[in-house]
Amino acid sequence: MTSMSELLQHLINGITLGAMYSIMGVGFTLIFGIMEVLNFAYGQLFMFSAYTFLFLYSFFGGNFPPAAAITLTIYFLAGMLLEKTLVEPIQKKTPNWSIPVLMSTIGLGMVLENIALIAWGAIYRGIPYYFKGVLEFSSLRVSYDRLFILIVSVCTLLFTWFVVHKTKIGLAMRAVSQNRKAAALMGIDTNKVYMFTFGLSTALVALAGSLLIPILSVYPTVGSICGMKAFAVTLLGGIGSMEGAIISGFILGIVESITAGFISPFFVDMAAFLCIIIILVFFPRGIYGMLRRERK
Amino acid sequence: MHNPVLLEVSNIDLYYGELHVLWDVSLKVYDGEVVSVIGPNGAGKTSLLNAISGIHPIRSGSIYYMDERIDGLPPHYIVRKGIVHVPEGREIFPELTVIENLLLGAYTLKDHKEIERNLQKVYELFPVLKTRKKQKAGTLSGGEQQMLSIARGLMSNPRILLVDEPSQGLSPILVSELFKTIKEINKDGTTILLVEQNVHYSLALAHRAYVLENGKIVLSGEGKSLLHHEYVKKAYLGV
Repeated sequence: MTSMSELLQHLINGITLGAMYSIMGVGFTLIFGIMEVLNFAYGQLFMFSAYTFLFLYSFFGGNFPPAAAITLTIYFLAGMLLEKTLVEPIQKKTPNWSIPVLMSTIGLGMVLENIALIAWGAIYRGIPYYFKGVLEFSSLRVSYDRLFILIVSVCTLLFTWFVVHKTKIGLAMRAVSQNRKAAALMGIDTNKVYMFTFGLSTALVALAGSLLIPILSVYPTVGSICGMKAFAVTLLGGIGSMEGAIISGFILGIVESITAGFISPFFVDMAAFLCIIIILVFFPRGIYGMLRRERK
Repeated sequence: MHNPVLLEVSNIDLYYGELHVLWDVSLKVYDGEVVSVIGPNGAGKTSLLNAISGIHPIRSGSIYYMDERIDGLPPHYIVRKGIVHVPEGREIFPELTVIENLLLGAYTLKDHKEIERNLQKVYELFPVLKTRKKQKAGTLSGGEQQMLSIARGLMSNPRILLVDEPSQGLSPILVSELFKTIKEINKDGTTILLVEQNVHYSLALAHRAYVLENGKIVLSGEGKSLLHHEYVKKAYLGV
């Protein structure tokens, strides 16, 4: 393989991985941007949804659409329930709710991780592939799975963008994010908007959990590193910025697969976080700040 | 004779934590009126509007809107009933466009034709908003933001508009225009409860007015007669 086509190959792999990071980053940044809540159970919800999907996938005899549809529905509802039970009561009781809410999400993450350890044990589980086969153009090879992941991810990102920017509930979400009181004065039920946002965010991470299984096997602690990456993507993008999260997701994916390909797979996480640190030192508000030509 | 009572606040007390902000406040607004509440900074004028629109709970007393008790209801229910609060400091959505701000004002409406009609109506009232409709609201001037805030409040066809300090931060020419517009809105059939520090203009405009000091109603009467009341002249008009 020539080095040029090798580079292209890593780029393609990186773009697939990046699409997943984008989805996770968008989900994470959505609830921060709109509710100012940092959900540190995000990685564990990712892990849990992967197990859920795995169960449903075998239940339906290896049929992707129904398993994914049910997983997404479950996690959309679970996200709404979490908002109602873990976030809303704390927000109602104190104006300084951000740290208590943060702690309650960290706590939830620990509980989920331990349940997973007890229920499924510290074993790697996975699915070898959804669709067998590889697409080849000259020396480039893209598995059908990666192509599938990429298409579903891009559609999901477009769908999410559409919901936030072109629908009535999306307009309400953007209004609530800028001024909760004024939004309530417009007749918006802000609690409902928060629940919907949390549900959407959790459904996004569940989609990432369902899609990633052939690339990344599932084990109870897979959530911690993935959650950390979702947070990193969010920070790199400029916290609260959807566009930023999408771009930074792709940057992270590409950096990781190029590092894995040309240097060593051991350096992947280090390279990813180094890249994040460097960008943040120069642009503390991340990609979003970069696009807005942050001045000092 | 008076029209029927639209809004009746009876003996309400309101607290911020331990701080007693409104003391046994009562006030009536008849259908079709402009009622002003004047008083110094910190008298509780904004708290009174917050209590009516459901943003802040009251500790005791009651608020009735057309024979229906509304205290204790969340703000989004109260908006649906036709009571719209145009808050102090405009509180527009700066990152959204002018038209998005206006559409949010019509959030409770379902009928697209009605929304379109209301849009044309507020464009007629504030032509500058039409020319700025694609602009982000945060880029508007202070006066334009105030117009947007009122226009947004009108988008749901309110029966009664609660307007908090609309003249704040505006130049004298803009203030006089603004009061003319408020008068026009009232002539079109919207009842108005106006909280203002600009005593002269708001008393001249109001059918009736209340003076709120330290959380208590100390004086009430017809707007124009209060304008000539000895106490008001001395304390508020400096004559």
